[in-house]
Amino acid sequence: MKVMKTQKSAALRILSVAIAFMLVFALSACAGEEAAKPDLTIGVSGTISSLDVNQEAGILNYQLAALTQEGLVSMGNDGEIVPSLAESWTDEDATVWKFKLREGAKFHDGTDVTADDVVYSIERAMDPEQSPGVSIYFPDYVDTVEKTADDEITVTLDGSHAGFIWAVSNTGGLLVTPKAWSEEAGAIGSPTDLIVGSGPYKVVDFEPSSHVTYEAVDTWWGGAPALTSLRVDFFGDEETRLLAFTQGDIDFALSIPVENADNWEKVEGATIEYYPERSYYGLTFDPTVEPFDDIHVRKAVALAVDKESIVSGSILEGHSEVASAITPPEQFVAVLSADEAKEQLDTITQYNYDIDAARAELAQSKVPDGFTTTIYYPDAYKNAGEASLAIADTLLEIGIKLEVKEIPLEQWLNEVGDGNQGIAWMIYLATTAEPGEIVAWLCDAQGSGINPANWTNEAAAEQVRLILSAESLEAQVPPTIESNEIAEQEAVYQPLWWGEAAIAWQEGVTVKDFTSFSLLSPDWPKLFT
Amino acid sequence: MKRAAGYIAKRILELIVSLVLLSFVIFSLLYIAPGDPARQLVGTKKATPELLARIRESYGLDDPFFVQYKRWIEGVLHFDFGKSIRTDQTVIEYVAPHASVTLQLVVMALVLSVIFGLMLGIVAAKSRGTKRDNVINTLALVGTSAPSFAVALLFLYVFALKFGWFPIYGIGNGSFGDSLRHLALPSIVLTFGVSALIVKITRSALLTEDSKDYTTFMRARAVLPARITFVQLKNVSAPVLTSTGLVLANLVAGTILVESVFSIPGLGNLLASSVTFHDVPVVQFIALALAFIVCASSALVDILVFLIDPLSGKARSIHKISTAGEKNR
Repeated sequence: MKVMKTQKSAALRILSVAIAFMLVFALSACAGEEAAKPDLTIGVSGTISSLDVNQEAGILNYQLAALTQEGLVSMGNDGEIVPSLAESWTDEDATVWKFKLREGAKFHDGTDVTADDVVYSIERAMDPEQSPGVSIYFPDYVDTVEKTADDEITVTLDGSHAGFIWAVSNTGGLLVTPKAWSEEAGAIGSPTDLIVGSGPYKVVDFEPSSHVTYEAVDTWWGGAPALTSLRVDFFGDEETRLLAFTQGDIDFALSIPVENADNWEKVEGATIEYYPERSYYGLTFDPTVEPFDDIHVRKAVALAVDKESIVSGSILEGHSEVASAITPPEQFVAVLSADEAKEQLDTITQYNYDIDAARAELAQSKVPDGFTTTIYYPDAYKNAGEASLAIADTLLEIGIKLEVKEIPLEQWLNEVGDGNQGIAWMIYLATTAEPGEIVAWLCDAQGSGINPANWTNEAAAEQVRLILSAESLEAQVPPTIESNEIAEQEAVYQPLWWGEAAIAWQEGVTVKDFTSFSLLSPDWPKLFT
Repeated sequence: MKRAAGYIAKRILELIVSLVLLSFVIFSLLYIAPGDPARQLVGTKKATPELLARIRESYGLDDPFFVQYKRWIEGVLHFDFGKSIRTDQTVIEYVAPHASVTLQLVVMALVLSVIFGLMLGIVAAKSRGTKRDNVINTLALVGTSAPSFAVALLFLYVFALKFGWFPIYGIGNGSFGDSLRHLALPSIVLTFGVSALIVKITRSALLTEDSKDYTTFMRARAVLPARITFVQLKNVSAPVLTSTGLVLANLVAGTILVESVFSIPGLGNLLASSVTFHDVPVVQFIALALAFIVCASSALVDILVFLIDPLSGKARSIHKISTAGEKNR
């Protein structure tokens, strides 16, 4: 007993010395002066390397760019197209687009936004070398981009393309910067060449992997921004973000994965709100990889996935919607209500969980006794990992051994559609509200390298051509549905769920009218007061 | 003197050869690893093979391995380390702010590790077999074996969230004092993990010295215990210095996880994300810079140990002990 006491007292002495040292260290380090607290501090998961969407075009880049930069048009809080640097526009057969530039719009450096700046920015966005992130929004159907008057820009396409309006939006491919500044800048959007735009906030400080700070400008054509200052802190670790929120260091947390939301709900005074993030989570079957070149194998796997249990069970706990198709219903907001869209999407061929039917399909395939394969999921999407394990369990019942492996998000991005994976995850977060945005890639069945499944199907490719050449967004709906239907008949995709995310905010702050589109609309901090 | 100069020249040559070999190995590994930076720049969006080919071409990613490596080496010889594929900034511009943060963190952790490691090592050796010795050994064992991210989260929860002594994340407003405040807890976490090595080496080296004749002689001459310890420390400086070099290597490796947990925009964070992005110029530069620091510090330690020359050091020490013993009498 005496030995234990002595040991305890020695431990306590050493611990006391260590704690005393830490206290002294902490107190002496408190000498640093406190910076002025911004009106709002937002915590986001992950980081960005560049503020220039032309260079790095992740969803977070777009959300932050909406604070500082503008396109000719923007996406409104309900997903509608709204005027931005163009106060009005006309489109002749969706082929000749004329944009009238807003009078009085100014960049943060005090210069006027001119037609030359817009033409320069479009040309820069079209160049894959200068703009690897957004040049895809300007396919080779753009014939000319011209300044046709001091306040007019005309873009002529090679035919009708109603979806082009999204290319010149801040959620697609156009974020206007001053021509003179851009030509002089070294690396646009880096800490040494902070992005210059015309939006409600200007960037005053940017430290990749740490934070970005904004201040309101008094030159924005939309009036005084809602806040005077705003700081966005980047977190590499989700646990640390939660601790910072618990401590009150951050006022808002954006894009909380639903699987972690329970922990956030436990924070005293916190409010959590879930919203559809217009994302698609599904499986891709590559018909160029054995044994997935056999349609019976693809159908067998699709039928063995219990997506209802994944969504309503312990993995997503009901915080997502079982997907009946590739495109989420909210994506049709410009032309259909969510219910109308859902009704049309439900007509598409479904592979609902039926283990006997799955077994029967596999029996007809060239691998009736089953096989072993691997699925990789990105580490940033833990729910995809948990779903993979659930899928592996049910596949084992029909003799298919699915090995599940986690890989870094960047590696996963690298390997999308690389032609080496028979079964793979596809996770897509839409930026625009164009009905055909997602299927225009997934169903463009022109062969290897064009779509993530590497499949070839002329009928589906033709539907995608119809989407791209539609004269109106309404006209995109039938080919969007039809191309998805062909993909399901071929069983190259198995849609699993349309994702939800959550936001959290502290007591004393209110959030109103938050929608799936809010974080991409101009001056989105006005929703948080 | 001539012998020392030859030794130093040899170590510098070894350092250069190591760096060249390392650069080749890293370049090769990144080249053969699956992945395509062009695909990453486009993201999960539709990208035609033509578009990807143009992006690859603009960064010279389609060139054969030796052409790419030769271009990189030629650049390095002219102090041009290339541009980051991810941000289009020059590598130096991109890496420098991260490097300064990591440098502060590593220096703080190194100083703390040496102070704590030496102090606890001495205490443990001088109280060999006691409960105090056991507690220190146990702490050292926990420090060595506990994963740094777990220790980081535990310390965050206890000392930042519960006690509120430290900030939870980030590097503050950029002022020196605020940076110090923000880097204090991460450096303590790193210290907890790496100082164990110094503790163990100091303890075991001092115990060896305790059984040597000169220690017995000093005790017989009634030299003060503090004086004896001081002399012993001088005599064990070689292994302790060597362990400090190893600590530096461990610290550099440890920053990757610790920076991630504390959301510190340092080199560790940048290296991890650059590797997965295949941002070859950035990875090459950071890896070589870190390798240079580790190799250079190791070489420096070896040179210092060489210069100390323990035999003559001991002889000088014994002479001083005799004098001190006579004074105490």
